[in-house]
Parts: sequence; C-alpha cells; structure tokens
Amino acid sequence: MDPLRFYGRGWNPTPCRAILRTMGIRLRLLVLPLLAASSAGLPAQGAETLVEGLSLFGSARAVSMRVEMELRLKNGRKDRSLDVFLRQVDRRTQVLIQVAAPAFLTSMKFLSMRDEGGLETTWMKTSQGVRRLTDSSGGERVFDSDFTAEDFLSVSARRFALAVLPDSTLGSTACRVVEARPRTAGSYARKLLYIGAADQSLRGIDFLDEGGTLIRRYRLTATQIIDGGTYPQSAVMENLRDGTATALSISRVDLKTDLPDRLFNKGSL
Amino acid sequence: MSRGSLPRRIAALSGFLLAVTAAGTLSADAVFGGRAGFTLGCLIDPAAPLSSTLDGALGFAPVLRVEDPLWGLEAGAAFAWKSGSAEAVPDLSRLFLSFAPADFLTARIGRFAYLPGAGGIASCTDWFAAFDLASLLAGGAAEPYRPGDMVQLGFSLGDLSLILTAMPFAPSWSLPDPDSPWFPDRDIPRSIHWTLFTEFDTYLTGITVKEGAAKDIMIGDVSVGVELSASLPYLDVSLLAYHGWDNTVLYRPSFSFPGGLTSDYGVELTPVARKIDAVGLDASFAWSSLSAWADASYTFSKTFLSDRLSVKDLAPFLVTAPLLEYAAGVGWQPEELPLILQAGYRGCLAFGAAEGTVLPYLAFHADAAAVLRLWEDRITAAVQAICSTSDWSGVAFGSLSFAPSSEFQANLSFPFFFGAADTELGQFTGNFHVSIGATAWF
Repeated sequence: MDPLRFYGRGWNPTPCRAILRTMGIRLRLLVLPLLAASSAGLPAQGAETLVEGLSLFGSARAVSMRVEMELRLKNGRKDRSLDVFLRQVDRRTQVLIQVAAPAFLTSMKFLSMRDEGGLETTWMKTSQGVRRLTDSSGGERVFDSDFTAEDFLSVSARRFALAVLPDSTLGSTACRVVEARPRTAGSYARKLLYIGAADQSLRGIDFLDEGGTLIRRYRLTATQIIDGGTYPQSAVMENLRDGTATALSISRVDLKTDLPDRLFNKGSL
Repeated sequence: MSRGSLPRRIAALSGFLLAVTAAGTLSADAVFGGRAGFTLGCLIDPAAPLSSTLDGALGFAPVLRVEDPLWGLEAGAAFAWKSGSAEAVPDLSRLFLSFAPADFLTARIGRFAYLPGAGGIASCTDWFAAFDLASLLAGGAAEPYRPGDMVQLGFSLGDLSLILTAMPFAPSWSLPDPDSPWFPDRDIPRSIHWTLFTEFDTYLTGITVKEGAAKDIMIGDVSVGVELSASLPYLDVSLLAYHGWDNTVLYRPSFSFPGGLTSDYGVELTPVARKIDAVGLDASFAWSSLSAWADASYTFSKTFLSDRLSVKDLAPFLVTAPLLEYAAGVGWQPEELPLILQAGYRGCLAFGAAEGTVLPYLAFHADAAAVLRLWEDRITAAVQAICSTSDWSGVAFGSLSFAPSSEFQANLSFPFFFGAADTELGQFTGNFHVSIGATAWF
C-alpha cells in the first residue's frame, strides 16, 4: 500500500507532502520505508487477536464433522475418513481427530488441548501406544498426510512471534495477513496466515523457509454456511518439496450435539 | 462359579460379542479391515547350520469397527507353528467390545492389552499383562506382553481420568519348555560334583514341568486394579494400585534322585503363581525435543526363590520380602533429523531380603534404542540393546523394515547375545534367531 495515499485520504495532506518536498529524494527514500513499516508494525496484541480461535475447522464453540481426506501421492492415492471434534470455550480449545476408516487405522487419534493461558498439550495415539508430543514434534505428519500436528493447533503468541503484514487478496477474497515465526526451530522459518476480512475464516497458509521459498501451501477452496457461520467445505494442503498433496472434504457438520468431556480426555485415547 | 477351559471361554466370549455386534451393525457405521501377516524364524546352529530349527506364525487381525455412538468392536488373532509339529496353535490376541453408556464413562470388555507403564519392557506397572521372557529374547513378531481377559471402566472428569480394571482369569503365563533354546539352562545344574570318601559327578537326566499354576477362574481370585491419571503442564502422572496375580510365574526346581542321593538326578519345575498387592506411580514428561518417563512400584510382599535347598523336598526355599521396583528413561527426537534415541534403566530393592534371595531375570538392566528413518520413512533401521547390569551380559536386537506404503511392511530382525556363559543373557550366546516377516493392512 502506498503510504502517501493512505495519509492523503481524510487527512490534511499538507504537512506530510510539505515535509517530503523539502526533504528531497534521499529522505523520501528513508521515510517511505519507515511509513510502510509503521503501518505493518501493529502491536503483537493486534496479531494475536486476529488469530484467536482460528483453526482449520472454523471457530464454532462445539462442532463435530466427518472429513474425507485424499492423499495424492507421487505413485497413487490413498483415502482416509476422519472424525473431527472441536470445542472452544473462552480461550480454551480442545481438538480430537480420529481415523474412522480404513479399519486398520482406527486406533490412530490426535488430541490437543489449549488452556486459558495458551499452554498446549498434544497427544498422538498410534499402534505403538499413546505419546505426548513435544514442541519439536509439531512437524510430525498426521495420519501420513501432508498435514502436520501443528497445523491442527491454534496459533498462539506463546509458540509464535506474530506480526500483521499488509492486507492481501487470495483469489478474489480480501484477507488480513499475519506472519507467524516459530519460537523453536522447525521445518520452516515462517508461515503467512491469510484470514478472510469478511468472515475471519482461515483462507490459506504459506509455509516458507529461511530463503523465502514456499515449502507447503494450504488453501481453503470452498466454504459452507451453517447456522449463519462460515465453515470449510473443501481444502487442500500441497507439499511443494515432495510434490504431494492432501485434499480435505468436510461433510456432516454437526453444531447441535453436545460433545462429552470424555472425548477430550487423554485417558480415553 | 465353575472352572472353564480356555476354548470354552473363548467360544462363550466370542458368541456374546458376535451377537452384540450383529445387533449393533444394523444401526451403525461398520468399517471392516485389519492386517494379515507372517513371521518366519530360524534358529541357526553355527555348528550345524543345516540342523537349524524353524518356527513361525501366521497372523490375522481383523478389525470390525462398529462406530455407533455407543458401540465399538475390535478383534485380532494369530496362529503359531513350529517346525516338526503338525499343530498350529491358535492365539486370540484381541477381541473386545467398547461402549460409552454415559458422557463421562467408557467401558471395555474382552481380551486386550492394558499397559499403563510408559517405558515398554522396563515398566514396573504392567501388572495385567503376563510377561514372557522367551518372546522378548526371541524377538520377531511375538510380543513379550500377553493380553488378558478383562473388564474395564474409564471415568473422565476434565483433565483427570479414573480407570477401574478387573481380570477374572489368571494371566496367560507361558510354561517353560526345557527343550526350548530359550530355557534358562544356567538356573539348573547339569551336574553335581560330590566329595565324600571319593570325588565323583552325577548328571542331570531330564527336566519336567509340573502344571501347578492356577489357570482358571476361582471365586475370590479376581485381579483388580485402579489407575488415577492427571494431565498437567508438560507432565502426565498416574497413581496405580493392584491386587491380584503377579504377571510372571516363579518356577521352583525340585531334585529327585531315583537311584539314591548319589545317583543321576532329575529336576521337576513347579510353577508357583503368586498373588501380590502393589501400588505404583507412572510419570511422563515432554519438553522441546526431549521426553522422559519414570515408573515405580512397591509390592508389599513378593515371593522369591532362595539359593538354599530344603532337605525335606530337595527344592529351594521360598522367601518373601517387600519389593520396590523403579525405572526411568529418556528420549530425544530432533525435528531436523530422522532419528529417535531412547535409553532407560530399571532396578529394584528387596527390603530385608535374606541372603541368597534370587531376584528375577533382568531385575537390574539398562536398555537403549536408536531408530533411523530413511527414504521418506520407507526404511526403518533400529537397534535395541538390553544389558543386565548385575552381570554385564546383554543382547542387541537389530531390525530393518521396509514399508513402501502404509499398507505393507516387510521386516528382518536378529539378536546378538553377549556375556559369559553363566550370565543371565550370555547363556543364550549360541542362539542366533533370525526372523523375517511381512504384514499387509487392508
């Protein structure tokens, strides 16, 4: 965004332009980047507010859904059916994802809980038993897909250094953009979250390495309106390094059935 | 309540579960799948390779997931065979029904493995699963912990959970096989050197095993356990208590001298099933790329063998003492490397134990494992080592698996034993047991 245009609208332009006219080109070159940086340097609380409650599955207080996952591999494809249970109360978030099909994977479950203070605890159940994931396990692939454990968790200031970047568009959708840099070393250097300006839905994520190369890319390809809320209908995560992709198709969204506490208890994994 | 044989119990349990499944399938999402595989093992005799013995197992573990809001059913079975035997021994490894009669309650009934310990073979609190040392040493597909027939209730309350478990039958202990290459020979003297008016030796003529352990249900012999778990920041903690059968059987050797005290002798092993009362503590911790776990259990009165012989029945005395067992381990899984490293240690302290008390195998041991994943996790190379710190003998298991897809895996495993011939694990130095296998999931 051109900072001069921003300051020229609804503001008295005279002082800014007068300053720039008199300071000459060198100073203009110095001031313009500073003005651009200041428009992006919103306090961390601003970025944190934008990502509060943001998840791949919408921002309902309690929702369960059936997700069909298609793994597009180099040498074929695989299908998985998942049951997703999401509960968000105040600042506390609980997510349970379990494989519904194929049958030989139905013991696999993913449980994550975030408390009011932002502390997240995640367990993964596989055929080898229940394992608590460490911070560095966030890059672990979930159910052999291109999604990692971290992708199913909310973004918090505790785990990421957040900053708001200039607005952008994704397709034809106007989006706010938040940059999240992991506080611990991982498989990527930073990710850009594209949040729909109109409905605050997570429209896309770009995962970039240190050199700025795009490693993975998530895009919400279709949405559905249920009870006045916007929920994902289809999405895709592409792994640009490996040349694979995982497509999600969400069906059977249930906002009415209460989710029992036992679903989100590690003892019941 | 009448005693029931194993086949009758399985038939009754299976009939009940299948009837429930049929009713549940009518109104539920039913997903069928599972895995099938085989394992072929060869115990190579370096002195006579052509005389090596084969053993194997064919496994079939169907999974029928009836995911009505209330019901769930799983099943698994395997058939094991040995070379020279025309018999295939069936082994029902898993058959259980789970259901949720209330929001805070889940129930499970049937045969399954309940292993609350966090440290694998080193854990001290896996009381409900019979431990088979021979399966551990042989490697391959056989699991050292055998499942039990149980009823389990789980109560959830926020970050707390309470699990109540009852096992009406005795654990599926494995009887020792004196002809097995995994029989602990060092525990049985092959000869006795006599010094009377002259010196001479007498020799072992044979070993027999007496079936004496309780195997069927008896009133009042139900094993029960309770586990209270809490999920804290960075830490999962469980407090446990148990009353029931020990998950291992003590084998008491008694000597017989048919031709008189100075004649050749035989040994009869009498299994001694032990009832115990124990409390335990499990904890696991995760931070950054590190994980750690710790188990401890205190058995109020445990029975051991003594190295002193009773003149009356020519068998070792049995002694009892309280026993504290403890174990801990760490793991490191860096995100930037396809590597997992783990190490652990287990020890024990028998309070007030008389001199000559014989502690069980691997009472003091360290274990370590390294797992390397290559080629996008298609190849997994692993080494796991167990070292008895009481006599510095040990075993290292090497394994290599190839999984070109998530539906198929082939694997090769082989152990190396080291140590002196009279040590816990060194006595198996001559056993080179190579296993190959393949598993397909459908």
